[in-house]
Amino acid sequence: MFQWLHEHAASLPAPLGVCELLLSPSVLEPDAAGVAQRATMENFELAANTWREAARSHRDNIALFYFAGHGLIRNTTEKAQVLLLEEFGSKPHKILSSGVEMANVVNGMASLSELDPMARMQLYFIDACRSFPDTLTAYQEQQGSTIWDIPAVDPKVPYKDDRLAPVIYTAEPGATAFGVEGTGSVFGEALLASLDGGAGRYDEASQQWTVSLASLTQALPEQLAITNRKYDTQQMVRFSDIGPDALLRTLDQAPLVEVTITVEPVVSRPLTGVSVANADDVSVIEVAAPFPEMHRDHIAAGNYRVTAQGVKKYLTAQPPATPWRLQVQADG
Amino acid sequence: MLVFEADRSQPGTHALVIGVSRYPHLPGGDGAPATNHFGLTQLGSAARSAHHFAEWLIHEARLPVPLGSCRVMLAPSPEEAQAPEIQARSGGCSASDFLEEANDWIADASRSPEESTIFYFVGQKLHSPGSEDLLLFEDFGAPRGPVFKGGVSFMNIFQGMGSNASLSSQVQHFFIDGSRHSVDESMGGFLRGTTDVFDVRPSQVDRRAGGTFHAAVPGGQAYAHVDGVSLFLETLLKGLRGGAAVRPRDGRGWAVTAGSLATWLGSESRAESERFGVALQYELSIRGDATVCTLDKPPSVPVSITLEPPEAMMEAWLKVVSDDGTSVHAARFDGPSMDFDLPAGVYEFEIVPHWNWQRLRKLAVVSSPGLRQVFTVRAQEATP
Repeated sequence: MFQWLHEHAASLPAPLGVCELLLSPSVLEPDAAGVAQRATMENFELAANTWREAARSHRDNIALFYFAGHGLIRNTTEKAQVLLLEEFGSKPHKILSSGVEMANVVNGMASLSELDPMARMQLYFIDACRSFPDTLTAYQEQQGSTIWDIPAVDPKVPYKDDRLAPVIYTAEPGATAFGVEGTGSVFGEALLASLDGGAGRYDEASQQWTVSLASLTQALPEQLAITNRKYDTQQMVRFSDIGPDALLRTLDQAPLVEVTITVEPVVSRPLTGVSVANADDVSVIEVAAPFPEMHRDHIAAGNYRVTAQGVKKYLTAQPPATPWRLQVQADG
Repeated sequence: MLVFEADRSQPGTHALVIGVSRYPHLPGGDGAPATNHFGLTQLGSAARSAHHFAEWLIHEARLPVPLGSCRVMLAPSPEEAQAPEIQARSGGCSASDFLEEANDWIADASRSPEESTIFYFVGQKLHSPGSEDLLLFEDFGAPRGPVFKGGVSFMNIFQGMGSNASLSSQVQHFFIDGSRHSVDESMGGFLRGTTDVFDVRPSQVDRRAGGTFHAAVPGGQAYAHVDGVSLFLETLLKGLRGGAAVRPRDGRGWAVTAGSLATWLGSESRAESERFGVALQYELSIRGDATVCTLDKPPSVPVSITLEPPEAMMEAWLKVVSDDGTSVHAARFDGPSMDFDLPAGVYEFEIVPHWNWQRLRKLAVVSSPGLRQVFTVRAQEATP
């Protein structure tokens, strides 16, 4: 994610400013060793405060938080997730001491009044388990650590948290997040594929291909399904606190889409060929008769004229993948 | 009150719809005044809004799992009660009444994993920054018992509706209408003494799909038309009736999904804020992209075509052809843009300009969600 942000900085809606990175790589991740400060509680507090101060410098800033690692939930309320830092487990008498309350992170980034210059657009990606360990049921009350105080609501100042601050969880409550050894997390792969174009949509107003919050919410579940099939996993995704649409990045060109074409009824296939042309009538796919059980291809996202047995249809190739089912005459 | 019940031998969608306008213990009410009313008063449109939502469910909605049951709880204001159809469905709306209805609702929903649920609440709510939303029922503010006895935590409802094996893999949608008034810190971070309606099992893996749609952000205000329905409901129904429709991936028909509805509500909140001069912001969460309802025909979309530069418009014609070759629109430009309606779909737009300019062809998707779909086409001068 850090590398992606730097490589695609020019496509972001606001220039890349502060980028705090903490890494605690395992022995299986030698390429990440020594790249950044370790993700300890102390370093996390310092980095988070630097990040928050930067976010608070202008209300038009965009703040992004991405956490990948272990996590758990300590009860079933929506935001009771605890993110586990490197030294988790070092204090047997306070087992969640190096776990950060995710709600504290999000709540501490709230705008407290109309005049608060806190960034009004914030994105939270939580790539961590949300399992509920049986161990916690042995305790009356468990709290993770907080990294900052939350100011009290001033009754004289109208309180309204008017941020656009979606939180995207990779796991549903009670479930785990999956990683692939030597590769990365399943969610991380799907997220980056979505940002690279899998969630691309054509914006008529700007006449550009873009990825927005709306397109991400609609495409990421589909992209995740593709990644799940690749690794035989069952990762889900949850979006919390979505609001109006917001631009996440622009794309240089239309993204590629995997299109699968099938022809029904089966008896028509021996006599059916299919041709696909773009809006300029340039042929992009030609499949002569007999049509196979399925034809798979990759074409640029957009709208196409699809002709089979002289019957024409206008169809859309929409990222990340689109099935086209063509119904033709049985007698060809 | 059970107002609709279908054949119970098939999986169904089970709806619980609540609208509380009347609060006897809040200012303006006819009961013993609350010792702390938190600045809350009577409402004028909650019961009417809930009634309209129930009517949409029963008479219009095409749900992926057909409507199996619909329970309605209405506590109308004196003005709302003048409508016979609302008065006929009014009844007790206390927290204990809700406990009874909710437990009948969860019993229906728990029959199988193939059941589905819809929850709609409109009424007064309190929100504590350290906790979550408290839905306030008719007996809120009653002088006996804890201050918040007449309130039910939405999180208790939400978590309870995922607390067994059948429920935890269903499609469930929650619509929470009304303002989210903040409670100051003197009451403590958590609102205690509330009424729980369900037991919650923390170790149940929650694989539910669906959406949770709030009409306001924490501390935010919701609005309603005088003698009408809430703005949130008005926008919600407009979206469910086609404004939020998208083409499913299999290309068959049109549907409103949790994701497309979230996008629609998010866009409309901005448009409505400008239209009415208020600050509207909805809070929307989705789990997967489950279908909320389907449409029996493509929704109608207002389209606007603008041709640039303006001089290219002179004597220019626009033709719009659907994919079966049918001409659906043909007209000459007589102004800076051309406005018309089209059923959602993919069309070929052909602009035949004056001979000074090149003929243009464009394939475009006309689709919801959104407002007027605007296309700007840039003409190029013809090469000599």
